[in-house]
Amino acid sequence: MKDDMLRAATRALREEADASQGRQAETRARVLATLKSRRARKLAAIRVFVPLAAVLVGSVAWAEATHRLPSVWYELKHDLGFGREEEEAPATAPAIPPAGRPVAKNAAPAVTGEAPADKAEMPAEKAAEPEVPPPSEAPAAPAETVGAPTVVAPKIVAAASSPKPSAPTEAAAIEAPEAAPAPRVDTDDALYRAAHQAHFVTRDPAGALAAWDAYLRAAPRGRFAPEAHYNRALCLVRLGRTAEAERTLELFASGSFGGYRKAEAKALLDAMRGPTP
Amino acid sequence: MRALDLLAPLFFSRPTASAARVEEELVERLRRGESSAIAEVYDEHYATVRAFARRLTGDDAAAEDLVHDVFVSLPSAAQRFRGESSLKTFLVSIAVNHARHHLRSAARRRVALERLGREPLPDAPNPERDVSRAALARALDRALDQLPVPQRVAFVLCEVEDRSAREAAEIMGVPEATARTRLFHAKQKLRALLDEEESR
Repeated sequence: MKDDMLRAATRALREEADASQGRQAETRARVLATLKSRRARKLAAIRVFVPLAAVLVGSVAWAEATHRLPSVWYELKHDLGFGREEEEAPATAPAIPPAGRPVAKNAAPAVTGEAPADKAEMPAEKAAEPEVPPPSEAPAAPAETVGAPTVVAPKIVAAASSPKPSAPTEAAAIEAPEAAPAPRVDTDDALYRAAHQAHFVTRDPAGALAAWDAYLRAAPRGRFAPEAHYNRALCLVRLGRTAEAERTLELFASGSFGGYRKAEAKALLDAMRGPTP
Repeated sequence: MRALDLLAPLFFSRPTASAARVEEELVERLRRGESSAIAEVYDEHYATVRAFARRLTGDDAAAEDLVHDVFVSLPSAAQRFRGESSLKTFLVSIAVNHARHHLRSAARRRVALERLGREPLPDAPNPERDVSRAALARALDRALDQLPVPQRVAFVLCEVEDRSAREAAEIMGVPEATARTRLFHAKQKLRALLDEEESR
């Protein structure tokens, strides 16, 4: 009985389906229209994404060929907010700028065997210090081309070379480039020169640290920013602020600044941390 | 006898081989996404696919939508066509793979229509017979809505479309024993559901 009913219902379903009229032409047009629009979408996507991919690949290849890939990557990471925790903790320290082109004249000195075991005294750091002349002496520095504001430079020298720079002096040092945006390059150079003076000539770590900070605040993406960061780390070592120094040196050692001072930073870090058991 | 052996390939094998070659070429064009090939396959197999879709979903609109989906997805599906089955069987298997969504929408539509009491009246010469046939078909559709999709597919393929268990298994991509088991369970459940409906 149940079987009969199921069979009858099956037959009824078959007949009902056979009796129903299909919309063949309508569905055919719909199928072809859908396929056409899909193809158009695919073509549009290809037209957009292929040039984009080509530009991306070309840029990466160019950056790799010119050894700028690590710095570009660092910049990208920095701009997107990744790896900020790796940067210096103190509020006074400037944000680490992207590593510019490693300056050729900062040829890395030999550090093998010069790294000391003692944490307090670091003979190696002297050897590893970048001996970059002040920008006015550098052939690339456009100090003479732009009208140099002679008022700003002495102020910076005073701020950088003083053993304990006061906050207002630092503020003045920062405000100077903002007040006169046109001779910015020259102001940065003056700041760099002041820091260089305090670091290499006066050999005042506290003053040099303040001066490097001032330079980095004024020119966070400046030409000498990587050197400024490295020298700043050396000042921190000299002042006994090893934790802060280590954080900065780790960035160099990990290649965040490309190959610039990578080996020296590694040697210095090894020396600071002492022999591994 | 010998002469017959020599002549047989001329009469029987050649057309089969050429038909297979034509289908191969057609499939190759489908893989390239040629609109003309899709249109050709559509014109040839629409009736088969539509009939299966209508029997499976029990709904005209859902059947047309399913047919649309089958032919739209044909260029990508043709990439995995190995020629082990006929193109017709392959198209029905695509319909099976796309059926789930359409079955759901067809069931929803049926429930909504029944709730509103709008049952389309047949305009045929024998209205009484047609009404009882339509009622039976609707009862079976309602019962089918309560089955799992694989069991429903197995029932439609074997009972409504009169396909063999082997063919149904090929379409569903399962072993023949699985197809038979699904059909057995489907029939058992449908009997119970129809009996329940009759006693109501």
